[in-house]
Amino acid sequence: MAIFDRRRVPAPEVSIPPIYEPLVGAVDQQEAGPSRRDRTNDEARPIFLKTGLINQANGSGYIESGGVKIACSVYGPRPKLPPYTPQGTLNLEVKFAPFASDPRRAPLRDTEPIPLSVLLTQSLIPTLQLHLLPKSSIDVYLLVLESDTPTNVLSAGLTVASAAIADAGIAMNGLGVGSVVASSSLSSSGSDLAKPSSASLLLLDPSEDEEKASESKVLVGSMPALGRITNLFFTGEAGINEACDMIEKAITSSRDTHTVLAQSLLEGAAERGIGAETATT
Amino acid sequence: MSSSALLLPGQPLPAELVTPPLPQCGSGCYELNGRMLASVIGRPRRDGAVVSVIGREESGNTPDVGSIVIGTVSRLTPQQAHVTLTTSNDRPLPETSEEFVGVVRVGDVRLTERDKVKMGECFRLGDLVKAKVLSLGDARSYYLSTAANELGVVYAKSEAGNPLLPLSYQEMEDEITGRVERRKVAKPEGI
Repeated sequence: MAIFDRRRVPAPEVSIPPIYEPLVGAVDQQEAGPSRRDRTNDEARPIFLKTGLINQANGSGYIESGGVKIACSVYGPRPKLPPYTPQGTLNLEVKFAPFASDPRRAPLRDTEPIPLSVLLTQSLIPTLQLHLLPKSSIDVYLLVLESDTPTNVLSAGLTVASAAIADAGIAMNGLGVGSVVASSSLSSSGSDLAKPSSASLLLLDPSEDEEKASESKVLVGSMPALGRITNLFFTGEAGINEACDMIEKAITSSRDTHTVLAQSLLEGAAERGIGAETATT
Repeated sequence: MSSSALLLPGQPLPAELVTPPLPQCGSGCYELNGRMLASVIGRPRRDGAVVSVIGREESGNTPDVGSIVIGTVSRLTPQQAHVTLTTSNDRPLPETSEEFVGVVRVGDVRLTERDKVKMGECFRLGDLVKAKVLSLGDARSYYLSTAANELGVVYAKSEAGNPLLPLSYQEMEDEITGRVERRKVAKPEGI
């Protein structure tokens, strides 16, 4: 017999894939097309957000938003290796778990996280006060556990990263929040001939199918508390008025996301006992 | 002062805290377009002319110029002492894998007779040292100074391994064997 290979998990020689029972109503979702059935066009999918779940990190957050699940951990501010920088630096890394998407991803050979990390760094830097952290760096790691589209990953990633940074007690200008709006023209669906061809359907927080069917989409990173935009990422083709409408809509919805973010941060602060001793005095 | 609500980053400070005379922004808050906003999660507090937002104890603070830091001596050369920092302004530094390192150069050990300072008669490995940050230093370390009465060694062990008690500004005594060792002693608080 050959030497036992202790580096690999010995799998059984024969394996059978599980058999799934077809979901009830699965056919309905396939036919959904541009118009939604489960929610209105201005309605975002519910968000679950919790901070402080990763003990080893200085701050952490976990988000479930639509088809995206991300765990984010923040380390720092830690002393930065040479060379000297008068400002702090932000190191941000997005990683996908092998099971995060279908088909499975091969670790290390995956090239998608790099542009996502760059975009997310750009959206996050305006929310931070890096001038207060000379010679230091903040390390942010986002582990994507489940994903549908890169835009939704970015949007949820920005929200969860600012939650984790705020949880770490690092100074910020404001809380960053991401929101996505997709636009698809009604004429392409063929059913609504009565409507003018220029009219288009704006969908807030589009699902994977809706985003595929859309002609353009915009990701807006904003700080609703300050009324400022941190980043704008537009793909596809749209008229100027339509683009403005899409951005308007994204900003409106970012206020709702901000409420969720604020609520979970307050809960997280209560669990950590922030301000408990000052309240008694 | 009544206990006020928890603030989030970007939230304006409550109006009763920013009444004239206009206070200065302390830690945890900043000014934007004439408004004072919180920058960390915490409760606001006003001490005279300074408002600050008090957040997590082990929050993201880093040593800055003028901070009073405490650390242990980790390396000693005739020219300088390397100090591994643990607290800054009475707040713990964030726990990370890399440590904040400071350097006390031989000229910054004490205020007088700077040229006669011998490093070995001021610090020993493992001593707990209180120092002030002079500058952000070079790429690796902060430059520290112990040139003040209340700065210097606050806790040390003798060669025999027993705790030392301060005798004078440059001597400490082993409380068991009675042997005297030389240090740059910090003036104990409350004397």
